[in-house]
Amino acid sequence: MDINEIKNWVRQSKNGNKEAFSALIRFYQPKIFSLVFRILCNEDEARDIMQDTFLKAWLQLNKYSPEFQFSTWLSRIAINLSYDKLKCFQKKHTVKITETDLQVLSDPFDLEEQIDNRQLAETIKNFTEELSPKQRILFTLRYLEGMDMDEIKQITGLSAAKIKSNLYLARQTIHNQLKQFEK
Amino acid sequence: MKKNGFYSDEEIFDSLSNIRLQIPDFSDEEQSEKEILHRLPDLTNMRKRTNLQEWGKITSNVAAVLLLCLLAFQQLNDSQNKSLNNKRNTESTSFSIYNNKCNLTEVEIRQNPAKLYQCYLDNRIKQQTFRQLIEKQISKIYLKNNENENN
Repeated sequence: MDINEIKNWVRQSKNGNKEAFSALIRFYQPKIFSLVFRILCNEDEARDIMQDTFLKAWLQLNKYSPEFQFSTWLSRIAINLSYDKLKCFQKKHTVKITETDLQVLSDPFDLEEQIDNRQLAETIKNFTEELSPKQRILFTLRYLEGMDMDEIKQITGLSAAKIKSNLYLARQTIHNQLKQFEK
Repeated sequence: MKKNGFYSDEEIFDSLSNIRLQIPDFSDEEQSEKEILHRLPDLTNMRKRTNLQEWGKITSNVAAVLLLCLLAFQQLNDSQNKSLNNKRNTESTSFSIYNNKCNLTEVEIRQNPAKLYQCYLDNRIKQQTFRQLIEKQISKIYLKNNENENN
């Protein structure tokens, strides 16, 4: 997609053009859904948060600064909404990494053998459920979305040191979970 | 494999590559888009309303500040006038109300006008007490004189 076209859609959307915003929704909703799904591990919640993200973006379009990429700004809104949602979640039971989860990691990836949303959510959940909301978001951005430090800094607004320390703690938690699995 | 007993950033990044490659299935894109568009409010009307609200807020805030300034200025002016009058009153009577003097510099008054007002209130209370005392004394003298004359 041409970046100028996106800029044009954004400019028109700022003037209240719903058709231009509709084009932005079409283009970005799979990406935002994927991001939120990986954080919340729940398809319905991810759909709701994704819709709220676009609604909030529409209402705050005049605050958007073109110095950032539109996708970064949109991801930031989605992350903030997901963070609020995560804080509301109450952990009902302790989850453990299973053999199936490790199999997903170790089997050679086959594009035709995509696992369904439920299984994917279950696997991610088993890895991230024990993390704090902040660690979970940073873990998702870094290891599941594959973002680099600069992108994470822009989206979360956190310093590099804070991101690193949170990721370290997240890795430590996962390491402990794996150790328990080995036992 | 592990650094300091834990997975390093690169190790865990590589380990989770399979999950990264699994893209969540997003069905009913059109339906979702319609739902979002249906929820979008009309931005132009909303912005006009918000602007109006903003202006309303600003105007009322400015009015409130002006009113406060006016009140403060009036209070300061009154207390200054009254303290001057009190001073004159104290000078005209021969009673010593030495304690009633406001030992405040101009800078202090400017910094804290409430002090001057407090002083004025103190003076006023003391003066009322003095007046009542004098009236009592005068009435006593008057009564005594009357009694003497009658006798």
